[in-house]
Amino acid sequence: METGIQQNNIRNFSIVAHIDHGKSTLADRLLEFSGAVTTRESKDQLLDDMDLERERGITIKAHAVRITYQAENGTRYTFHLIDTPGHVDFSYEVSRSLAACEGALLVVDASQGVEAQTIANAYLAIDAGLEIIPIINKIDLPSADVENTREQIEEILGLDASQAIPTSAKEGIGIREILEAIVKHVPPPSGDCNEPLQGLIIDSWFDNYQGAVILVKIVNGHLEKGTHIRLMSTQKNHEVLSLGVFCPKPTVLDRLSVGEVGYIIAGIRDVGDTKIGDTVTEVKRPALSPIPGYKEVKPMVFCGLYTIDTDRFEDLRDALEKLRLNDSSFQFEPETSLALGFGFRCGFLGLLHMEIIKERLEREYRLSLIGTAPTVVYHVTTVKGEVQKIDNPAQLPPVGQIVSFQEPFIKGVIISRSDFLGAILKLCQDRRGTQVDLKYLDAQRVMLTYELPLNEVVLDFYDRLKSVSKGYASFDYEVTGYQDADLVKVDLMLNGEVVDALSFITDRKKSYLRARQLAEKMKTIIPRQMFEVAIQAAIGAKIIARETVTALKKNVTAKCYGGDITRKRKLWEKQKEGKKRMKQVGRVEIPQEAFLAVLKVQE
Amino acid sequence: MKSVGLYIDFPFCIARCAFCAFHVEGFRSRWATQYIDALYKEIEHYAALSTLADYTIPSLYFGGGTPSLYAPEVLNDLISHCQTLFNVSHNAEITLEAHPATLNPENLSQLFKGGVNRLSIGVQSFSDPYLTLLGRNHTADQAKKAIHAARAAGFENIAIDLIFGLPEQNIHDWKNTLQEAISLSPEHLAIYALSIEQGTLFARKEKEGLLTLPSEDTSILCYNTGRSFLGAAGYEQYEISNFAKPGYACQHNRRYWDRAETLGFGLAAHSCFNGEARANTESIPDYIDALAAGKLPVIQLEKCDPLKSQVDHIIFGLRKTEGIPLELITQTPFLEKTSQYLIQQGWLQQTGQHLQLTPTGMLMADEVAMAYL
Repeated sequence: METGIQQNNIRNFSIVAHIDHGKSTLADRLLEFSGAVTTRESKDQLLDDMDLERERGITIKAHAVRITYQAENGTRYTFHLIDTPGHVDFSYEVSRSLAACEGALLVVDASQGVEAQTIANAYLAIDAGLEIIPIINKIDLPSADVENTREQIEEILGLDASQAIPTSAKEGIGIREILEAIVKHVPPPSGDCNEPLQGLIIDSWFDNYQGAVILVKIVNGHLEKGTHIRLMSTQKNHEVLSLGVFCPKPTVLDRLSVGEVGYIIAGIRDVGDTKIGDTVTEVKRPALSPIPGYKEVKPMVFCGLYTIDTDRFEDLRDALEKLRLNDSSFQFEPETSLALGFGFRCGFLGLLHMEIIKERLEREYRLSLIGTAPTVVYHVTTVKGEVQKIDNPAQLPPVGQIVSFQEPFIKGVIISRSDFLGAILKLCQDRRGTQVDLKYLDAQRVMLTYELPLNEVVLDFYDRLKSVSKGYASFDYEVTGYQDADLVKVDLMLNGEVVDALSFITDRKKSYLRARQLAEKMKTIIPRQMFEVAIQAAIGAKIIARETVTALKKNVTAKCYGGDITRKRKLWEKQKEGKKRMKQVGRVEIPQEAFLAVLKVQE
Repeated sequence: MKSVGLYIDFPFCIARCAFCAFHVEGFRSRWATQYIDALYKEIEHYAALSTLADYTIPSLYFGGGTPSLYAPEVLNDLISHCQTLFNVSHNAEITLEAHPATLNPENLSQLFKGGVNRLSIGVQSFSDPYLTLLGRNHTADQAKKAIHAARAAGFENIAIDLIFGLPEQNIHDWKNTLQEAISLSPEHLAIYALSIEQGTLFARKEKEGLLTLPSEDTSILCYNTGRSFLGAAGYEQYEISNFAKPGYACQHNRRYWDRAETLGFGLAAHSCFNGEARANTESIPDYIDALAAGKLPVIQLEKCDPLKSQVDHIIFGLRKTEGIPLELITQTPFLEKTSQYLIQQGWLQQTGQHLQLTPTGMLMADEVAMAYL
């Protein structure tokens, strides 16, 4: 194995970009160019190895690949390309990946220009003190406007874009220039090989045979097979059984030294112990302090997950446990709903994280799930003076016991074409937003900064934003903290019985409108039954909306001959199947989509 | 000897009616002649099967579409061809579905001589504005004239179809239509509730909010009024939508609800024969091309599963007022349990050795069927 890499010849960098601006394609080209993989091996977008990642075009977990590059100055350099998750839900993970780098390639699509995630990610990279190399990608597109993109990078991000590299990752244009720029502009890692070990955990995941695999950047010191390491946040000790780097295939090494990025296997069973941002040190000679920046990530968005087939509750538990092996940021605990039976209250970093987990449960574990409307964590102060954290509307204390409510707020950045400004302002207004800033980026584009309650964002805000801006607007946010709020819980009742899974917490001023919309929506969803069904929405004991589904009195096929017989039979079988999938509340049968109705009544 | 009813489909019409979702084409289309050639090929294929030698044919049914658009010679030739190829009983019921505007004394007389002995006329309504709304291309007066002409030509078994629950229809209009129909004293009357089928003009209008359909209560009232008017006029109800003077129930259609064997020829025709269920293509060119190439135009073929057949017997047999023999359910605990539940619901009743729909059950026949599935 190659040994004795000089610290001076190491370059650690990430690629940051807005979604679809070509980050993954560029990563593939860099790997191909340096011979790490052949074109044939490259299954398009090599670094995204989960199916879901490839389909959604986003990177969910971070990776790091070692590339050897023979530069024009004759020296061989060792690059570590540290891939970062590309979504707001994972901004903490992004910040830790960036903390492992000395440089970043900021990729901007030449036809789209700077977008919301470009800004968010660029600022993360600037905050991390990285050397930033702007890349103007997709110059092969007819709509590419390199000069305008260059101006945007300078004006919006305040970066010197005069050296920005025009590139087409798709066509392989500009790749050598990028590699050379990395050599010239990105500084080698600092740190001292003789200091006590400090390794920054960038990522960790679970391997069925090896246990937890930790991806680590050696910030100071070095480590070898057999080194006894300590995870500083938990103070747990382990022995390094194996270590190496990804080239991109795992390659075992004898030693990882300062500046290198590689993996460690140390017989750790639980990825919950290998927290992203934590510091690995040596038991014998521990570092005085951990690397700064570590924090415990907490789920921001919660929802109930239930199997449609109640017999599969245990399967759901198994599946959740397996998924958690690889993702300690997501939480779950059993809960019971009168309407849906036994299920789990699950906590996620954000909406995308929630969707990904749900989709993986359905796809990889073949579970049919009902997810209740997502909610945030409310802080409720009761008359006893205690603060309760409420992640499920059904758990809210009775109105009389609540003194005050607090809800989480975000600061959101929206970039859009200015023709949609009116519609976007209205949307933000409707979602109780407060404008912080409004800035024209150029004649056509505008950047809005808003403070918004997170609960207004988790309910289809992003979908609505896309819809009112015909897909142009981009959005990114960060959670800023808790603020006082005037909230109420609205319950939905069917023939007098509360459907706990449909209760929601909302702004008092909006409660009547939303209650009415939900009742109307439910009327269209609940099929007629043999008896009348009263749909009522209530705050406490006060009914604020009512709809009625009249009783079914007639369901008969008038003409039933020849071919009608086969057609009808098939139709009835399908309808019967649909009925079996319904959930029963009291005597009332409700289809699954009813539980998502809360999501769809906004506007 | 075993028996099988023959059905022949004619998928051509003057124009598509506003409520119709069947596979029909304009009669002038280039396919009308080729279609008959293809029919001959299909019929001959089945006639050549040795199994059919053991069967008599008690009924022959020309449906569609509008079979009466074809010249009487074409239809008569088909009848005699069937009589040559199969063991058609001498007293077989031979039905022709007809559109009022296609009937005149001449063709009626020829068809009667050719062997057609039951005429099923699509009258739908005796009110001209409704006929226009339905897109029927005939008037109430034309319908009456056609019925009189059929009588004059010798027909002794005439059936009339009516539709209720039409857009903006009230009970008075429906009563008038019923009375007009009764005054013509057809042997057979079918009353159908309008249903809005996907892909029809009515479906489109409904979606656009241009259709004011009567309430469910009005529709139920129309149905019950139909039952009592027809009962008082001497018609016996023998199926959810079918009424006849004693001895005039449609032999062919009964076979469908009894799950007795039937062979269907032509477009989208279904068969239930020799332990197999079969369906033909729903595309006219495919039908013609397949037979021209010496192939059968079958798109679905399944062996009949015994339990499925038993359930079919129950759910379709219950459409008949006489219901089903109790022995169809008593051997199977699941079916018995379901029947008990349906009796408790007030939808089924036991009469002697039969299980029947109650009057309320008649309005819930599809719910009853689903309960057994």
